[in-house]
Amino acid sequence: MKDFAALCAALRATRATSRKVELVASYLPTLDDASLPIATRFLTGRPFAARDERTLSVGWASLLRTATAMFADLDPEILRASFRAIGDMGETFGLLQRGRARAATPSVVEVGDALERLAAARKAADKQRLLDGLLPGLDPSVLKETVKLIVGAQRIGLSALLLEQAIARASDLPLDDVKRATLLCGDLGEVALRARHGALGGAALALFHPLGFQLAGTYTAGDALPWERILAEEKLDGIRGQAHVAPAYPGATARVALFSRSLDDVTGAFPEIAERLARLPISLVADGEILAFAAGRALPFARLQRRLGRKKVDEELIREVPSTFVLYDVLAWNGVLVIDRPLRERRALLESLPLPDGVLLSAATRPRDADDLEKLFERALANGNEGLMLKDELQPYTPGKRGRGWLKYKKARATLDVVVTAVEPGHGRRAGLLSDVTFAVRAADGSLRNIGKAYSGLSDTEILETTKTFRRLTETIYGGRVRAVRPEVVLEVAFDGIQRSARHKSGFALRFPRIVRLRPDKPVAEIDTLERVVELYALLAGDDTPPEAAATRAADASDAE
Amino acid sequence: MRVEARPEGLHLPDLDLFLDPAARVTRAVLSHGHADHARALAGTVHATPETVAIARLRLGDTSYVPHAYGEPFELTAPSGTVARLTLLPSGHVLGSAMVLVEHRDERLLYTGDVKLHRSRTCAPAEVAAADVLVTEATFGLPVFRFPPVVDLEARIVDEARTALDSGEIPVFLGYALGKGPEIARILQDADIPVMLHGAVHRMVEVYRSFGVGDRDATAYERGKVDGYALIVPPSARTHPMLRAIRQKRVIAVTGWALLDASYDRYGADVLIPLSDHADWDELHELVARTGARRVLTTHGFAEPLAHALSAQGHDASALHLLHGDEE
Repeated sequence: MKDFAALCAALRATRATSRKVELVASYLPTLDDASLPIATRFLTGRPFAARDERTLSVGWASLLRTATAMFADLDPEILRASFRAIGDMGETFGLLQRGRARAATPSVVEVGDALERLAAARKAADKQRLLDGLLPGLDPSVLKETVKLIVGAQRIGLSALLLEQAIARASDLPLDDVKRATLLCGDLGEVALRARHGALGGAALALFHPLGFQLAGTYTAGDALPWERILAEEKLDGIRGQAHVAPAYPGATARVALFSRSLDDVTGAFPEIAERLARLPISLVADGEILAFAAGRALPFARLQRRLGRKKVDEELIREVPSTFVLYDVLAWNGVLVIDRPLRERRALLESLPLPDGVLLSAATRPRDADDLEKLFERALANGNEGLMLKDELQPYTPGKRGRGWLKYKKARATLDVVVTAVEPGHGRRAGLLSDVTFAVRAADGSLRNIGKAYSGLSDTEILETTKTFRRLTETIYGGRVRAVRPEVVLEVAFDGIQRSARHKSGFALRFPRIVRLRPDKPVAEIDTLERVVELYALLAGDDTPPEAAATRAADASDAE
Repeated sequence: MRVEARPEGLHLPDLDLFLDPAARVTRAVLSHGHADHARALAGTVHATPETVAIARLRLGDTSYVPHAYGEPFELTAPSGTVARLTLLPSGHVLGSAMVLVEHRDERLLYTGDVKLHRSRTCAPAEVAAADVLVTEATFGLPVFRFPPVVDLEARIVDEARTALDSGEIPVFLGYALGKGPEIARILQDADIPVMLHGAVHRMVEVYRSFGVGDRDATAYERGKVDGYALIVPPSARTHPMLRAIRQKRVIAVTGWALLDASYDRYGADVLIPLSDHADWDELHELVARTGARRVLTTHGFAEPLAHALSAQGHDASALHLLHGDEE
């Protein structure tokens, strides 16, 4: 572990990524087969493989308790001040440990074992005992890196890609082979070991670790595309999901997981989708959309939102907001990674799949030309969707990348000019700055009605500037945090939609509002009105969509059935 | 003896005397020439001859009264009583002084900036006994404990040689007053040729005029830097002068080099924690050597240091002075 610590120190001292790769590539061969996978995983900044769901769940408070016992000669207040001043748990432990004549230098394997025990411990008291047993004896540099692994802040500036490059370099194998093996098995440690022994080909697809999502570029109306190979799908108003399915076979029950764009496991929030996907006859990794869906039609995103962020949902909520999964791509099929095959073949695989009830296939149409595309686009808008996804049938699936394969065609959103009515301090880097703003439009009677709250969009300089202005405009401070300000600062805000809302006085709330720019040129008297909001709301097909429109909105899904 | 933190700086009301004032006052003692201490002039400025020379360069002219280390001088208090003041080496940089004030059977020691470990370019600190100590606390946390000076000096020489041997220019970051001349001296003592940024070069000339350093130091000349170790102030690290040097190794020499964040903060490839300030252990040693019961802390981690000293039975508290960037 001492060598590992020395490598981390060298990596921190190096900015050039090529040099970082060299450092790692010359370190890996010094490890034996037992240490190689563990040290490689450590270099990802996590104690375990990406596919490994275990977490250490050790908090700041537990580490502080261990520190208080370790450095008993120091006042706890001084310890806390030290942690605050340095801002890095591992570094502070390491600095304090210097000169304490403790020099245990366990091997990488031993540290790995200790962290596994820490992950396995269920009770906080057991975790505390393991920490108290592990940390105090360690050599300062080893202590620093071990604590950094525990808190997940290695700060060595090594991306997964650089690590893959180092593995490829160390084993003299093509980078693409290493990347493919990593994608398959989700464990850089295993990949490093396989690479060393020329066995990358043996990396098996491990389900239930999320792969990256294909990202889309932007299509501008009128652009020419190779129409003969373009598929257009309506851009659904749900959340992107990656489904992993292992069907039941004799001796094992089926298993399904759904991952969100942020690679979080959201299976628990959509049990009925999991149940239906479990009825698929083969193992699968598929890309698709989670939609709120009832009586053959899609429900607005606002309804789906109620299902998000929950570990579990009850029967009642499932009845109120039923969900469904619309498949649009496949990444792995029957244990084989198919991302390198053209979309045409992947789509054919999906079309050959006997779909369980309540699992849909996204409808794809082939536009003849740009004019035809416009018609499809208008229809998508009429259906209450955001626009179209345009996909090239000859392109592979590129996880985590904005490949050439996908383009999104969205309607330009209207913006609103609003005035700031209240502000509060931001968090993290923006702590102490009045960066979170609540804003309003003008009602017919001239009064201001709040319609949303935005957290981002301004530059740091602008935030500094507006913070000063807001301090000056402050009229009342509520709860020491929220400041009501004189309505003088006009902003232009963009948003993804308008919803009915009881929270704001306007009766509406903007979905995902963000500040486009400051409008010092615009007098407060000329900000947008509530009337305009009602207009936009009707235009954007919000919550109260008339039944006819909602029925056609589900067209893309029902077409596929 | 009463001590006050005023907007104009640290004030001894009984003597109507300011120590390192931030604004123009009637009379003051300057502890040393760094910009966060020598901030403003006073009608009458008492300081060591070295600090007088530096303050004259940086702040301009006034009525300076130079005092050699260890030679007491008297000031009359508004009450008519007489205080005896002595400037003692603080070991921080050339000319830096601790100020010992003896008035009505009470002894106050103000450290200015202080270090107890050795330096090749300034006099070692002489710690006097005192009843009240006003000490800096730049590194007043237990995470700040510096390795032995000999090891750090050896690393400075090693890094310079390794860089030169591999065809790189070693670029050391060090303040003109203090670290720059110190690094120059360490390298010259190891027969490594040094080239100095203009600000460092001017200061080295001041050092030489006081008999510190006897070797020629070359001022920076564009295109002539090959084979030299270059010494520049940290503020010059983004200067075009450095961008013009393609193959370089940037070495930050500062107490902050203990922290990984300093790679980014100084844009450095190498960090060497040779400091001109006392570390946690030295601050405690300093307090012990003065025998002071009452301790006021200022600059840096004043609160934690005061807290730790209180826990050890001192009457300690943090003074809140407004001050500029640390040197």
